[in-house]
Amino acid sequence: MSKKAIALSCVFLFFGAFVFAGEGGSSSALLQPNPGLAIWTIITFVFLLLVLKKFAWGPLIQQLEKRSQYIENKIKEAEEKHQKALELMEEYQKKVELAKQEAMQIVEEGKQDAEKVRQKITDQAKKEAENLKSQAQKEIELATKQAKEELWSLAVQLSTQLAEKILERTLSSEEDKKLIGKVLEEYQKN
Amino acid sequence: MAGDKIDMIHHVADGDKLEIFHWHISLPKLEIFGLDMSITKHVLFMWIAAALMLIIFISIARKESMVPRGWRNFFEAICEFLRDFVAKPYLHEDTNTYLPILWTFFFFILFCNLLGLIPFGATATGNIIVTGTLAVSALVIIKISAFLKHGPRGYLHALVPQVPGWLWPMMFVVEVLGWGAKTMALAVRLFANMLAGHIVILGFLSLPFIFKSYGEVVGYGVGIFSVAICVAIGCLELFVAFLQAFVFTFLTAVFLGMMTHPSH
Repeated sequence: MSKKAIALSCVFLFFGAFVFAGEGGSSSALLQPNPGLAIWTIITFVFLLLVLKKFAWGPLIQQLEKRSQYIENKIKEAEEKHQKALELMEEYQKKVELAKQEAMQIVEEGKQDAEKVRQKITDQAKKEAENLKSQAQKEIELATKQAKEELWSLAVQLSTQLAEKILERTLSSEEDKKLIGKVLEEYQKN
Repeated sequence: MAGDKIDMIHHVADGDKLEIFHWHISLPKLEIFGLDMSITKHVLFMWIAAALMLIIFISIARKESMVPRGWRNFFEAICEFLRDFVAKPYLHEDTNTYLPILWTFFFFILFCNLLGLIPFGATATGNIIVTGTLAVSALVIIKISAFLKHGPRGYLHALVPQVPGWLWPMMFVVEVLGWGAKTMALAVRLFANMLAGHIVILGFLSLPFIFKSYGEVVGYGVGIFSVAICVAIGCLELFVAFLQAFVFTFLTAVFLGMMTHPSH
């Protein structure tokens, strides 16, 4: 409502009131025309409107607008913050999930490594044991062979000596040795 | 009520005296340019209403705060209700422009109505001159706002949309009658509502004095009944005071909307 409109309204109203003032009176006290009262009403109302508009309604409208703007902003802000918080939470959840997976992987890897090490150690130990065993076996074989050979040569010697004693002569000729060897060979086969 | 005749009209009509019990306070008589501009009872009560409004609303507007409390909250809630449910649906983007007028109408009428409920008070809005002037003011303000908003051509166009030229005189008559009826409706509704309650209360309060002639006991018995009824009607009047202020404001907003937003 502009000042112009109010001023124009006043002009019209006062004009109306003065025209109305010329009218004749009515008999009833309730309906008696009273231009003075009408003019006072207009003056009071317009004065009230102008003063309140300047000192009360104007500031009040502005304050209401400001407050609604403020509340709107706050709500928007809160929504944004909420959204951000949700996003952050999701991010952290993902991170936690990732960390969990990583931890699991590390544990798994550790387990696998341990398994490998165990396997390796076991294998090595087995191999070593195997080696030791085979070495021992070889040694035993060697020893046995040696012993056998020794025994054999001793047996040859002994049997040769025995036969010499029995035959009372030395068995030294090639023929003798061949004979003895043949016998022994046969013996060994059995 | 001292006389043998109870004059109800005297109580609700305007007067040049304030009557409190048996004290009569004469109000000043004034004459300006040959016009009787006396400060009557109703002028005085209009001024009291205006003074109350100035004190209350200016002090409220000064107390700027994001969290309103107390009286500020109370009046602000009413103001906001009028803005959001009365002005906005009809005035749309012009709400803030016409809001001061609507608020002034509402609170001025409300305060006048409520002052009439106070003992020894007078209801300025129970006077057809006051309500008529307010209604005519509303009409003139509406017309001039629309005229200033749309300009002479737009104003006429808004008034009579698509009608052949030879119908214009008739449309003019219909329009004038329509606005006369609207103004009368505003003025008479408020006047009659405020007057009726007071007259009913007065009527019921007169009963014991009438029945006194049948004996003291009958008079007191009827008095108890009358007072009970008056309390009930007083409550109704309190409601009507708010309702009529609201109706006046609401209709002004509707008429304003019709004139400033003819397409809606």
